[in-house]
Amino acid sequence: MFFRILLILTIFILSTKIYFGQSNFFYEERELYLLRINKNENVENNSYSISSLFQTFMNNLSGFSLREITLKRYFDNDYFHLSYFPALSLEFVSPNATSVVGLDLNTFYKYQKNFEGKYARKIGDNILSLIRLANYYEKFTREEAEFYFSDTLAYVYKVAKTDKIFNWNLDFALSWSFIEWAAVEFSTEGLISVDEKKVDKTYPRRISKKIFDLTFHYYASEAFRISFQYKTGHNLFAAVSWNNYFKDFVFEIFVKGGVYSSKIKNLYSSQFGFKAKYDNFSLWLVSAYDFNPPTAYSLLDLKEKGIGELSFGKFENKKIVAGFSADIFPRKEKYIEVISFDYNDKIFSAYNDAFQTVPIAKAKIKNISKDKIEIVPEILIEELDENWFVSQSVTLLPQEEKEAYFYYFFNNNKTVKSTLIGSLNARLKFEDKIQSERKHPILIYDKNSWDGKVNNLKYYAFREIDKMENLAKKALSRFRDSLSKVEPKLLKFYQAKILFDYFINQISYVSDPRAVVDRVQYPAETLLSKGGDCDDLSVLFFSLFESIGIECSFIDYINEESPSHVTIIFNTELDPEEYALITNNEKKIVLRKNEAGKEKIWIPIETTELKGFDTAWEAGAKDFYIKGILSDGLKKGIVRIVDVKN
Amino acid sequence: MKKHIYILAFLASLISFACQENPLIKLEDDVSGNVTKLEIEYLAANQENNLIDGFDSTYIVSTSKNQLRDLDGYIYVAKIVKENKRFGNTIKNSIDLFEAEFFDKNREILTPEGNFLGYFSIPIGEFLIDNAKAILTGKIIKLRRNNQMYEAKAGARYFLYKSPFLQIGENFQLAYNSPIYVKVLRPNHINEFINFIPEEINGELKINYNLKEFESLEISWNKSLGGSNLRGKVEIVIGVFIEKTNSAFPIIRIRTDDIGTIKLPAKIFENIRINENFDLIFLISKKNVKKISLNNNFQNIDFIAASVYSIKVKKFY
Repeated sequence: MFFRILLILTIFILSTKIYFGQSNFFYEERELYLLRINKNENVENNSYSISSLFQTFMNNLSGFSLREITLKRYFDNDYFHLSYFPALSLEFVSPNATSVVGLDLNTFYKYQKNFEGKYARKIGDNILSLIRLANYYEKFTREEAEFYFSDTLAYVYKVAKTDKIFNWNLDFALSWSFIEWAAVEFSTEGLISVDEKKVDKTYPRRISKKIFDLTFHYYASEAFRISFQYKTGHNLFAAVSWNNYFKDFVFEIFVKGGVYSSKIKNLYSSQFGFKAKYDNFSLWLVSAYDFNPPTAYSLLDLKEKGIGELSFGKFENKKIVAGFSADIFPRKEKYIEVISFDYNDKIFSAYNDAFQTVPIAKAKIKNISKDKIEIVPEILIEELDENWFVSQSVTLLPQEEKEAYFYYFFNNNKTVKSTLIGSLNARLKFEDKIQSERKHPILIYDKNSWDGKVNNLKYYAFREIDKMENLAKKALSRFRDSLSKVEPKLLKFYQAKILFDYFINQISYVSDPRAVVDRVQYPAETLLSKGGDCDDLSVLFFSLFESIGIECSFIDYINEESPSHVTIIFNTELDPEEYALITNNEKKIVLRKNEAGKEKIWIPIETTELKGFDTAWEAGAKDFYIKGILSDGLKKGIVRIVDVKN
Repeated sequence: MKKHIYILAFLASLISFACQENPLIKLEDDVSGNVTKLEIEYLAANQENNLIDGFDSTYIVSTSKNQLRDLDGYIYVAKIVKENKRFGNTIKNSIDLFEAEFFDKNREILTPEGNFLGYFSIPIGEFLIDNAKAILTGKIIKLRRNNQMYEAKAGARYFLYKSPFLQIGENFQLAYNSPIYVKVLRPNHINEFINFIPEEINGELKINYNLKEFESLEISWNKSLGGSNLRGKVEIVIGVFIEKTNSAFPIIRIRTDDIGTIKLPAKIFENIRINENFDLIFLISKKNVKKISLNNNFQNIDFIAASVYSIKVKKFY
């Protein structure tokens, strides 16, 4: 008694300090049913779980047996549960009244639960209804002696005569959490009981009559529960349980005891146990201890009152059962709910860092657990990547809603040669466990596809800048003598002029093929193919100029009715008052402030003007002056100077 | 890969553990407390015994082999009523019988196959039963093999016999419900033992039929007076007597409380299948068994005083 009180007190003290989820502690056959409307047992929809349970008895350690295999499936508000029990049985033996010398004759009574199907449905937030169909097997084997005496033979031998029946039980249960800290459960056993065939009435049956349970649970804290159960037949017991949920590890202790009627349990019998769960594995130990065990079990008692419980019933005292279970297809514990998910369904493979600053996808998520959690978004495009891209984690307090952003990066060494449809995989992880995973089709444009945004020409212009630097330097070296005579402040101007004239001679203008999206050639491709359209040529000269340190920008002429036009403008680094060094027409120059706020002379160039630098400047400056200044294009925003940086 | 390991482990565990049985729970049979408990011994099964002239003439029949190994000898005194139901007549005879044997434990009697049958018996002195002097005669045992009878000498036996037709020994007279004194006279030694012959026992057979089919046989006898705790055990030996060979075999021994009647299913008799015509013999007896000791060599001796009712009936099925 002292030990019991001490244990209960210890558990109570511990429970006041630790805040965690609820428990399932009814390690017995009629375990409701206890579908356990555990509030933190959030289960992902449409998930499967399979588990097995083993048991052994301290007085028979060699007899390790498989107790149950269970398959569970969860839907939104529905729960299916199918169990097969190879060894959830009790078997009795009693000596026959008629004994035969030399032969040990007994009668065996075996009661086994074969399988059970449960279907439960949540009604609203607080009620769980359940229907249960269970199949039991009862086998009675009587050993008898057969005797034979003839002229030549005389012998006696044992024969076993067996009678067996299958029994179906249909039962109902209802659980109602009417307030936050309490719940009641009502359940039946043997409500509708049908035998497959008649059996000799001299044999004891498993259930003598219908049993009704009424259980009241009081949640003293999240971790600590006290329960009282009344079963018909003057059977009242109390149980306490305490459990502790760590991150990956669940630990649970429970004690139950009380006054039982002899129909179900022996008087004063108790259960102690603990359960530890890590990852997909559970280990549990339950000891059933009877403080006042019977000295012998009675056949008469079995006949009159039935067995009661198949597990931890009145026929099992002072024993320990060890169980091990493994979820083979583990049920996923759910901590978050995804409210919405948006993503880019088209991506341009040339824009390798486009999704480093702007997310490729975003999810609005809610923390539905009772803990503070940290969610990590991860993304993978199957066709392009082998590894998941991990984005910055999002911390959510209980019930908090936040957006999680998925960032992405195309490796430079990946080239998508033709446009394809790929799969965008996005997942959200909590402590290395996937909480949500989704897959969407995504259009991946090839490396030359361009969305028409001038800003994005930088991906083409800067990609091959090292190669362009070589070419540019090689070209300039041919004009080393003339450049050495140039006044230093005019060096950039003449470098640009020489480069333009040198390379423009090799190129002809070719417009883009008709396509849904624009196409842009990389500078080397333009030089190799000796042709290109305005964006290809602008990219080429932008790249050549920038490679040798001439600051360059794109000019975007937006035209709503026909294809837009793009040219470049470069910085001569001449001061405004020095314009006479290069031209006598001040309309041919554009003044732009540098980072220090000082104005410098910029020159627009029409890159499709293939006759030479002067003509291209003339044409570029004229276009810019007419469309940008005279027509107020700059102010209206239909002419834009687009500065891009690598 | 991890999933596959789980599945393999799961399947292995199923194979390993699925067939294990849970331990049996022993129940005390408190249901059939008031129902007769029978102890049945199939004597003829796997052993060779002899039964002479329809009654238990040797202690070998009365004693299982395990008991025989422990015994150093026996003294058997019985008052017997023989009822012979043949040809529509019932003939009753009363017989008094005394037998005693003392075993030489160094000399076992074995069958040709080497099965233990008993021990050679040796004389140890003289016997006085009340005032009658037992005669010393040869111990003849009969062996049955392939339905052939063989006789064999197996030492010496003390013997007295009295029937309306024959008396062996003088002054030999037994009475029911009476003490019986047995004196053992040896050089320089006289041992005297007393036992009590039980009351007279009368038996009756009743054959039950179900639609003319033999269903069961009821064997009844006169219950002892007094409460059930005062009543002893009753022993019934069922044997067969083959007229052609003039031989009898004990087949079944039943021990039960003195409850007056038992019912045996037809199947017991239907499994007795002998080609020759045969009679059935029922020996119903009450016994008082005393453990006595003569000296260091003969420490464990059963002194039995019995009242026997013997019914011989033509095969009725």
